[in-house]
Amino acid sequence: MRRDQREQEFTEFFSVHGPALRRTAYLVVRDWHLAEDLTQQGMAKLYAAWPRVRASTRAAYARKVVVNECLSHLRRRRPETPTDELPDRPAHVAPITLDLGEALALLPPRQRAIVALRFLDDLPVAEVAELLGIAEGTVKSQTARALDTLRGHLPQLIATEETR
Amino acid sequence: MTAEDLSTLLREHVARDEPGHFPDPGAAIRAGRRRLRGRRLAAGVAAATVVATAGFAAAQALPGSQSGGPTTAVDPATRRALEDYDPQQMPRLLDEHASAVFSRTVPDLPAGVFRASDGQGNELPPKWYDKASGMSISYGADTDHQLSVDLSHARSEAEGSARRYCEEGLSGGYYLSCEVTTEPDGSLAITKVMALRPLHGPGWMAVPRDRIDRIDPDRLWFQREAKVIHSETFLTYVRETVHAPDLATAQAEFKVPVVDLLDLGTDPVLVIPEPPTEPGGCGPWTMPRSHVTYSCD
Repeated sequence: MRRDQREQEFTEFFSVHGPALRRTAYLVVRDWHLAEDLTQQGMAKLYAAWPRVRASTRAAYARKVVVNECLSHLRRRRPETPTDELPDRPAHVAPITLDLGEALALLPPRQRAIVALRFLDDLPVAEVAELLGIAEGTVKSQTARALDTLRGHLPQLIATEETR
Repeated sequence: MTAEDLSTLLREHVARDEPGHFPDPGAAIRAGRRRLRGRRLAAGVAAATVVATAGFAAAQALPGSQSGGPTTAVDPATRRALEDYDPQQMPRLLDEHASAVFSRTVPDLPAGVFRASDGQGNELPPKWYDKASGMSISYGADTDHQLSVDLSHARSEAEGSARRYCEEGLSGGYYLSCEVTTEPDGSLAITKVMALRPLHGPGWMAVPRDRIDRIDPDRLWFQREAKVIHSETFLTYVRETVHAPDLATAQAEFKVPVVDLLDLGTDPVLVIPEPPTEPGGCGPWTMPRSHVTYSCD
């Protein structure tokens, strides 16, 4: 494939899919700058692999690369490292009510990725399983755990559910 | 909460502070070109290595001429320590070296707690110490005065510009001070002070400078850290963390001088070799219990 053709196709793809990929990355890593860096790293890998990736699977491939970039980044961080990407809040008076961002921060990275892929990107369980390289049952159980955690820290959402 | 509720909430959450500008693809294209060039170069080097190795193997008839040395790019003193490396000795070595330095200014040092971890931060039993991505020793973890030494192979934490790391942390208000120095052994050291508050689980959350006054003083901690970067993957963190209501009090509570933090951070004996990579993956080895697999592409 000629270089100018590759760049033209890649530029079009980047313009269409880049912002959505950055949003997915943001939900996983919870920092816009980091999400942008990891999206760019993923897109650089996509550029390098461009001729080998079928046009029909490029979006899925890009999402997989970007999510793996995010998870790889997070798993290299040790838990005792101070997390300066998380948004801070002034001291709360009990009872503590978290907003969605804070509640998401409580989820392990892979559960956040599953939440992002299923509920932000609207991907089916099978596709999330394929993308993360895990069993469909694992996606379902991890989704259930993530929702339990979110419900546990977002009482206003429980109220919303109860009043529906 | 229904799936629709959560989808709506997530979209609102993301849209609330999403940067309006998305960068043009130029940077990704340039980085992609670099990857392609690197791949071609690596293929060329691999081909040359095959030729050279074949020549070497043909010529080598001398016994005992295997190098067998570590592949980690580190200074000579560290390399010597790696040649004698015994992972089972690391709990003792870490404790001896760390307590010798910390005891200079903290005479009533509590007993140290050793921890080895894999590439995902899972604690490892001794049988896996030889594959550890990180080893640490901590003192006073349940007290208001905590000390720790943390050896780690983490490329993402070692790479990048140290000065930019400081500048961004300072401009973002996350670092109260930050300084970059080059140590006598050639390693790069970043010494910084941060305000922290504990998370509900393990770990800390950084408190930006302009929010310190808004945090319950009883939940405020301050940490002085020397981060010493030895190679493209290996680094040492030496930390002193104190429970204090403000920076001035914390400065008085810090007992270990920066020179001692750096002394430990550059101790050539306190080193671990680069961990093996996961089969079929590009990440460091993780304990065989995870169902997650990662790929480089």
